[in-house]
Amino acid sequence: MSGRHRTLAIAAPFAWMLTFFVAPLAIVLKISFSESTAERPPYAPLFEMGTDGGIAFQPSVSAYLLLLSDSLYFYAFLGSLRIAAVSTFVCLLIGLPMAYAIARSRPERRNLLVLLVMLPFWTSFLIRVYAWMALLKPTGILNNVLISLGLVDEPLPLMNNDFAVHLGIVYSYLPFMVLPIYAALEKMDWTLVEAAADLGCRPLRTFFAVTTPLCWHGIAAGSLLVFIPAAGEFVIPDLLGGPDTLMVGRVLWTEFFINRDWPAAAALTIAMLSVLLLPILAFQRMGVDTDRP
Amino acid sequence: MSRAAAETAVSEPGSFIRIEDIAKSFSGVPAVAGVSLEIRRGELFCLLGASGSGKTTLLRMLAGFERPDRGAISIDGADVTAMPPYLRPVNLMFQSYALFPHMSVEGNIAFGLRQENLSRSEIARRVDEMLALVQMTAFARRRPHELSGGQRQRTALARALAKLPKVLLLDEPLAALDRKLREETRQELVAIQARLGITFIVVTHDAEEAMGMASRIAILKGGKLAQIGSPSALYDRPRSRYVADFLGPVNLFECEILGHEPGSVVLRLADLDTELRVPDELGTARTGRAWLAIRPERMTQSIGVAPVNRMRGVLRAAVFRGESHSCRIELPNGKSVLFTAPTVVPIPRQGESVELSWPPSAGVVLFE
Repeated sequence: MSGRHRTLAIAAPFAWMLTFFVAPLAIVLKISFSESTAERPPYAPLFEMGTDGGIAFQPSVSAYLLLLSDSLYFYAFLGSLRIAAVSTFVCLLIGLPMAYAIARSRPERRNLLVLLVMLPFWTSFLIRVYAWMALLKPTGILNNVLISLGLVDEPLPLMNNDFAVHLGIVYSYLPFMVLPIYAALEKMDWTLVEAAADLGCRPLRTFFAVTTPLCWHGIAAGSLLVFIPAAGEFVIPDLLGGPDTLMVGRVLWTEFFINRDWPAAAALTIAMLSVLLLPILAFQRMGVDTDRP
Repeated sequence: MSRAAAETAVSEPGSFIRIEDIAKSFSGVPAVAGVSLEIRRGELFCLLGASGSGKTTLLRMLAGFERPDRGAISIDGADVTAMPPYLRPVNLMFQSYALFPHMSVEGNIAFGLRQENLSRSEIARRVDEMLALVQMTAFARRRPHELSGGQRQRTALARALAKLPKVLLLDEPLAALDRKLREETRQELVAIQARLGITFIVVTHDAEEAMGMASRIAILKGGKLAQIGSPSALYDRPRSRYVADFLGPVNLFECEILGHEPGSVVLRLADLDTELRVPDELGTARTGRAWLAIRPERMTQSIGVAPVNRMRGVLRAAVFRGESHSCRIELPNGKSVLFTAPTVVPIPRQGESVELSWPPSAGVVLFE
């Protein structure tokens, strides 16, 4: 590839990112430093023409101060991170053995299994979450079956609580955990596992001493792919969560659409983004170590 | 080292490893079809065969990675047929070496020792010992990808030897090395084996390599044992054309056995009206169609006096090989004979007539 072509190939996605990711983010950043007003749009301009003809720059940190003053935001953050962390861990517990089983299955069967993992994507995400509502609600299929079997007397509270939120997130994001781990395991040299067994290492120990370290980047990528969107998730806690399910996504939505406090919502977004940047940076640093041939 | 040496003294020779009528098929295709073998303690034993001969499957069954369909394997008196690999007193040096890429040379060597209840200092001592044995002490902290092919091979050897197994299996240990290093490494392997006294079982497809290191060789063909014996026995006294040909260049003449004289067999080569005599080793009174095998280097140019075993032909091609010439002689019936002439002996020009002869003991009569 010639130098010009290469520049073009890099420039195209770069322009895309600039237009649809960096520019909106800049707007959000700008709004977060504005003053909230009751006008339309509901925030004061950051730059204002002064009476003397000059342009006045009027940044305000009141939105950020609001975040610090009300513990609701702190607990929303904490709730989001906790639910995301637990869901990620459960996804790992289910996804790692799944990916391992797919990678160790017969080659002609592997593609079918991978296809099955991706199959849910063919249906709308929203529809699948609604389907869970139909399953979990007090008069839902699951409760009806349990009651008709005589296992429970009254419907179990399966929905509108943190359990349902975890369940929904694990269900929705499991493929994002399975696929990167599978991709890492698929390239794995299985004679290394035989070598470990030959040297007296039992299968479970081999899994942790040899297999896991060698697909570590797949595990880290899968965990990030689950953790980050799960932390900012809005639809699942809104549809499956209870009134006490406190997550940033929901608070954000409330600030924006109910309270019409755009600067607060924008500041919340920026804060959330900063928090989520940490694991991404950690992963990148780690990648320098593990990506050696 | 001391453990293996001490046990050598008490056990009787003959049957350290016993393989009894072992067979294994993969989706209906037999890989090993009934092999029985006995390997002695402290031997450097070679499983030799072409690809598809079943030698690797046999090795994997010894290591415990494959369960035989029938038959039994015992090591030092203990039946290990159903024993998982991680419990067997056997270690394997993989053809690809299979070094753990996320561990240093030290870490790789210590891996097996860490699976036992050994103290940290004991592990460190054994690792140092192994590093010294394979001359890798200076590279102890390197990762496998930072090593040369020869260094990786030595690391793999040290890792497999670290637990002082009763048996060390080596899968094509020299295949990945270049020619010069291969010869050096072969000698090193023999020296290390002699020093530690551990029973080595080497799988290889290279006859020269096998003959250069083994105390005994088992030649496998189509999942069955073709012949077993010392390198010289197999080379000089093969029992089939396959074995004769596998171990090196050989002239095979179709012949008819005319009769038996005391101590020798009288035969006539097909298409060639010459009577030949070879020692009657088989002791059988078999007659009929057979093959006479003679190694090219056992033939000499006869001068003057005509011995009993001789044939005349025309030199068609000669290839200089350093210590010798490889010559192709065309017989009157159009067939070719290979003949190796030491360089010190002058050879005739191409197209000139040559008379070849050989001592009676150089010929072997084969029925298969």
